[in-house]
Amino acid sequence: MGKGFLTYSSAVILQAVSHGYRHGFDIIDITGLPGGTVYPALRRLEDTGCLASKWEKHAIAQAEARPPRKYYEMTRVGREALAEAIKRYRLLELTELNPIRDPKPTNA
Amino acid sequence: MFAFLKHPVLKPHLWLIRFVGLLVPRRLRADWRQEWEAELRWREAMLAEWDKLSWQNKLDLFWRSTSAFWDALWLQPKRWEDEMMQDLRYGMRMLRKHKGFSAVAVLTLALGIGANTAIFSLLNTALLRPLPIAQPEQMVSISQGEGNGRFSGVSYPNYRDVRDRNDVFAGVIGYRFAPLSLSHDGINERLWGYVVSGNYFDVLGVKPLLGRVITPEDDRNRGAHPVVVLSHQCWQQRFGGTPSVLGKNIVVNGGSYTVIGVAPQGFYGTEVIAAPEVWFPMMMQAQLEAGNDWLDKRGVDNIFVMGRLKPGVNVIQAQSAMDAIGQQLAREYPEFNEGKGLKLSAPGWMGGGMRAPLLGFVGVLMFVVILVLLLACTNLANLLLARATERRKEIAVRLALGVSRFRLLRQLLTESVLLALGAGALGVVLAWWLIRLAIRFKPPIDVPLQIDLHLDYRVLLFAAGISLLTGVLFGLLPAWQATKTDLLTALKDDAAIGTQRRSWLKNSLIVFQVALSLVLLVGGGLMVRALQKAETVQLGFNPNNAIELSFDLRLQGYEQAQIRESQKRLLERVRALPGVQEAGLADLVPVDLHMGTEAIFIEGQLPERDARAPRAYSNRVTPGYFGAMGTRLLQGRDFTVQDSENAPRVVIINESFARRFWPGQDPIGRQFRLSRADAQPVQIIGVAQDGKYANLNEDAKPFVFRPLWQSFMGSSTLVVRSVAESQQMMAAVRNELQQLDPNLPIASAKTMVEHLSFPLLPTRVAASVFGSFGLLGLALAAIGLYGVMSYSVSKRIREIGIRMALGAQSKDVLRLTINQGMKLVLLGVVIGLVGALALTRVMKTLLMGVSATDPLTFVGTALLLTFVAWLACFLPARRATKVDPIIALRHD
Repeated sequence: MGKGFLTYSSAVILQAVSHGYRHGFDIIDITGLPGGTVYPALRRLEDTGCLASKWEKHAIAQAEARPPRKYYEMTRVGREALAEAIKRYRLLELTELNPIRDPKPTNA
Repeated sequence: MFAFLKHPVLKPHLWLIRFVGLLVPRRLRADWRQEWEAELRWREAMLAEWDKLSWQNKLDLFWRSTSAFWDALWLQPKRWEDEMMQDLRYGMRMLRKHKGFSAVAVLTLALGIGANTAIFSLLNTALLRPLPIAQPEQMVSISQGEGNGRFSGVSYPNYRDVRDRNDVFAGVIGYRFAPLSLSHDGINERLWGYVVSGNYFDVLGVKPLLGRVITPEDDRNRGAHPVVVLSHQCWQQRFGGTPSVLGKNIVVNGGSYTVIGVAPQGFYGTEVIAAPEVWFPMMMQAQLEAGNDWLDKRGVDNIFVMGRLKPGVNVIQAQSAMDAIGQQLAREYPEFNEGKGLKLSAPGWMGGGMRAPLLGFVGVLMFVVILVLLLACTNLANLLLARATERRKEIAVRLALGVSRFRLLRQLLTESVLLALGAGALGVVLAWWLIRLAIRFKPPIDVPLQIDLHLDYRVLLFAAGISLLTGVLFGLLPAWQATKTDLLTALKDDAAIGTQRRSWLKNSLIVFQVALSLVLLVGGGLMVRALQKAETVQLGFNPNNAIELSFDLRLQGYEQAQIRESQKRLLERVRALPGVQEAGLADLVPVDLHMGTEAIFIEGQLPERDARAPRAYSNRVTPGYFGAMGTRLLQGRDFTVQDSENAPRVVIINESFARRFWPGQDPIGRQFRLSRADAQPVQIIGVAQDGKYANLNEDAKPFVFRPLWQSFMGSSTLVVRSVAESQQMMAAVRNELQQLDPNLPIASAKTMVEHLSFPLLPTRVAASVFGSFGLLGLALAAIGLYGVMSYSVSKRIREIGIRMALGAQSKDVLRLTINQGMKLVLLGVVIGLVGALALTRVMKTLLMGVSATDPLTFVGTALLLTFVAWLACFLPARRATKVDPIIALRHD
């Protein structure tokens, strides 16, 4: 998938990841996109090399008595694609997201 | 390992993930489940303990988990991709592992596919390939009815009217073939050319490679523009491909023409199967066809007409416009055009009159090769069935491990399709080779036939299509059978039980194969009988030690008297050549389909003025013809030089003629009239032996020989009988013809034996096609039978062992096993005989009078097939008798 083919939702998701929302559910929360959109998009972005996925350290997960989570990271390709997409979808330029490390669910 | 695993609380969202996870390709499943589970768990932990959650939160969690479903769905294509690759890899491995099986299967199928592809390419060339011009789909042929449902060419005046009166065609062209003699640089050659209307190249959209093409200006005034355009091939082969050919003068049919241009490479005119070499303006027609001026004759329907439809006009509109013009012409010139009408058809002969006969011939060929393909396919199916039985264990284990039947079917189908595609690739190579062979073969007819067979995309598509089809169709049944395994028995390794059930399929395949190959063999056998019969046929002349050369003195612009003089002089000189026993000229030499008939009127005996007057074949010959042909005169005398144009009219008749009109009487001296009831009577001076005239399988026909010099013909064939070697003789006679006229082209020169090969051509082709494919079919059926028999013997080894331990003799075992196979064979033979009886009627015309139900052929081929089948049963059966009961009983 070339850079030009990045859809709007993929671009939004990339931007969310670049701002530190790195887990699937966090991205769903921050973008407001349905999970049925976000996950396939994540897979596609990973397939095309825009994102890379990693597993959380076992120790952290174990401490919290839950399985390790998967998180996504920007790659060089992803950053270029995002920059390209922002030029096309001008709205993304205006949407400033606060980079946060540990987002809390809004309805907590 | 993880604490949470110890508390498997019923949480709907987690269960959903487990469940949906089944959809995910196995390769990704563990990761996928963990990712979703971790997210949900984490979210759960964020919110609070499960027990304390509000139902909205629980619902939210569940809602989120349903997204996993979409995620899993998105991963589906990957699963298919993975499995397909798995299947392919596995299939390749299996095929490589069983090299013998794969080789036999691929080869068998390749033969079938190759034969089909080759025949299809013939069909493709003749019927599907477009003309080599711009927008060929806009072209249609316009032909004129003959009033009897047949359609032919159009006369030039009618062509002009169609061209000028219609408003549906962007252009209407006319063309006609002309036999030519070309003289240049001291060489005389005979070739074929087109005479074409001035707009020909313009309407076709063909631009010259060199110089210019014929324009309407060249075609305005009669005889005014002696110009010629060469085909690329002609330019290359006859003029060395040099540009200096432009402006050169060449002599054609005695007139001088200036070369004005060379057509582009690949343009061979307006018929896909013919390739004339030169184009002349139609206005030069009278000069090129001396003594045959037809430009003003509305009754001579002899040019082919094609039109290019205007953009936006469809064929139906054009046809109704042609109907209107046809009616106009019928009103204006009723004597020529009454009841004829104009009809549109696909461009060229192949779109019109020759379509049906060609389709018939190709249809028979196609039928044969499809039978062969069916045979190959049944063999493949049988091989696959046997293989499936061998693989029962493997399949049962996989089924037991939870592989779905559908998945297994796909796996097995992948293998058979792989086989079929391999066979398709090999088949194309085979077809290419067959085509090369066919191209080298030139039919002995005097037309510039171009059978430009090649593998284009349509042929390749066809090959790929039938490969896929056979792979799927004939792989499906065995695969279906194979996966219908009863797990329990299969795993218990009691193979003998499971095979019983599927043997009906295998058996019916054998019966089918035997029947099919018998049909092919009977077809081949009948053809061979026909050829045999043709060799013993009473020709009425002796084809050995005779040569014939045809030429047309009219083409050189000679007058009647001149032609007679030259013919006499030529005969004298040829007879004086060393080794020549006799020489004579004839209008036509038998056996020739062009042999014409004339009406016979006999005073006092038959109705004198009746259109239904009896007819007889007739030919015009010179003194010496009977001697040269080796035809015996039974009574009376031969023609002499004295039987000239001023002498009383005389004829020689054949035995059948005498028998028919004067049975039991002496015909010599009797008189009758030829052609017209008021014609000058002719007197019979001799009776010649009967023979074959138009074709080899005709019944005895009445025949009249007239002296050539009492009824003038310009074109003639010289027959020379000699004791000299035929090629030397040919050169000597050619030399004499050259001396007669240095520019005289020789239309054909061949030995009489070569001449006779033409009427036998269709039968020869059919005999070799049926014969070779019949033998191929026999081999396939024998291989199939052998395979099935040896397989069944190997499965019955224990049973045979028990029988032998209980005292059965070798011959009992032999009978047991052979009987089992021969029952199938005999059933197949019966079905095949019935099928052959029904199908061989179609070939009647090719059979040279051999009956389509010739008992010798039917019984002979059935016996041959039964014998080969018996051998195929006997070999495995003999192995069965060698079974050592002790080993067999231990055999598991």
